[in-house]
Amino acid sequence: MNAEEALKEAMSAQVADVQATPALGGAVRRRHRGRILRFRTAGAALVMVAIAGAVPAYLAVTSGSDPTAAPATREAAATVRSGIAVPDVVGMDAKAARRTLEAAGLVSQYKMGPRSDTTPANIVVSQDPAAGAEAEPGTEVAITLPAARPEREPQEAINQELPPDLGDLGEEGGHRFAGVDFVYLPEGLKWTHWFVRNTFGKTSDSTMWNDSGKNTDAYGIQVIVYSGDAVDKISERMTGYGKQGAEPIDIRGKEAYLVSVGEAVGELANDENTPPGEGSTRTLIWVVNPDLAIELMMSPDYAKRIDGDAELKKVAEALRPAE
Amino acid sequence: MTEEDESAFDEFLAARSTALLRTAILVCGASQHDAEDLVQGALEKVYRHWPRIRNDNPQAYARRVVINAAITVSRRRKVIQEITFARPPDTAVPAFDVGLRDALFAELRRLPTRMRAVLVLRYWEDLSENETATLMGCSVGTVKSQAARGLARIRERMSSFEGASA
Repeated sequence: MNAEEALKEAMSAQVADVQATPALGGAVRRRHRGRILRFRTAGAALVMVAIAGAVPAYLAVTSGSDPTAAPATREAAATVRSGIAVPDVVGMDAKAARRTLEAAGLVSQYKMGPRSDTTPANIVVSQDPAAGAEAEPGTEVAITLPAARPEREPQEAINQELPPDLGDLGEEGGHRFAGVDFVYLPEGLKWTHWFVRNTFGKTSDSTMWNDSGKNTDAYGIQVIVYSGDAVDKISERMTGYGKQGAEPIDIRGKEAYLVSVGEAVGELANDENTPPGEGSTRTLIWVVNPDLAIELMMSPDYAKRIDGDAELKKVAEALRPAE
Repeated sequence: MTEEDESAFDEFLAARSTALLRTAILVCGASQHDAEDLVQGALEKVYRHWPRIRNDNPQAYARRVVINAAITVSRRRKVIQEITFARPPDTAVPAFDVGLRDALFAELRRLPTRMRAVLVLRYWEDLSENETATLMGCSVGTVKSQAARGLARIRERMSSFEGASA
């Protein structure tokens, strides 16, 4: 690697996680208004001095000989008015709230609150001062918006180290992936330095192991770890397996299905959907807790060489949600 | 500002603000928080002149404002650091487990501010020597020599790192 490339990579790594917040637009406009306000107040003060100084100067201003003086006079009037009742902006979207506050002579300041499952990110959840409170013109009213949910983009990584938040596979003794400790794996299986995020549903992570540890070779065992909303989908899929006649088994007290599936998601392999000669995949699937479901798959080729079902069960019995 | 100007500005932010923020962090070597403040200030300038510049390469304008602000901040910080560290800080030998990337970035931060800005613009933003010179308000020759000297420092650090970890 030459210096230019190395430098570029070092710079990329340094700022890879940096994202501008959606609140930036609000912050920029707030600064802008703050600046305008300072100018206007200064202008107003000058006119006030002129008024105090001499009556003819005041007459000159109102007679309209100086076109710039008229707006300044209005500002002067605004600065002595006081006691605005703060309008209620909770429940408005951010833009409407800003306009409402501005119309009342107040300045809005966006604040980011905790993430909300119920309120969209652009809806005001609270304000300070509260509605009805009396405030001086130009007072900043803090309006709190829920933080945006992080986007979950599908992502595939090949020959990369696991990001620390995703686990420690690949390290000496590492066995954690996506919040699950894979305590047991069949002997000889190596991690392949391949993983995908949010590919099997919005909140899923998947990786695989095989004999060679090379991701150019076929997988031996692949796991998909589902969390969040994806768990509900897995529950539905399991109900479907039951309806198609599969018998549940028990994995550490939870109902699980060890089934053969073909290409079609949610369908058990049968003569119709799995052409002869094409192996179906042995799959063990269960919901560990309301925020965690696991799907373990064994490649047909690998299953021929070991006792596939027994090994899948052993992997499943041994794994633990990370503390 | 018309309603249309406002929404065009929002679109501009959505498309460009992350890149500007990253550039600011690289040039001034600051934390994300400090860089955010700097970028906000720069974007306020962009916003102020938005109706005039929105159809005339606002990205280049914004980048120039951000770079200038970052250079100013970085210099100011350097002065503060020099005052604070009247006694030279212990320059600890980096541990072997510090990655090459970290070592290179640390070296980048030690470069003079304008040299660092040239490297960021040339190798992070992928600007040409010409564009970099225009943006920094200097000659192409200066860009060339600054880039060459900066890269030489990076190269030196790379080889010493490879030597140390071998």
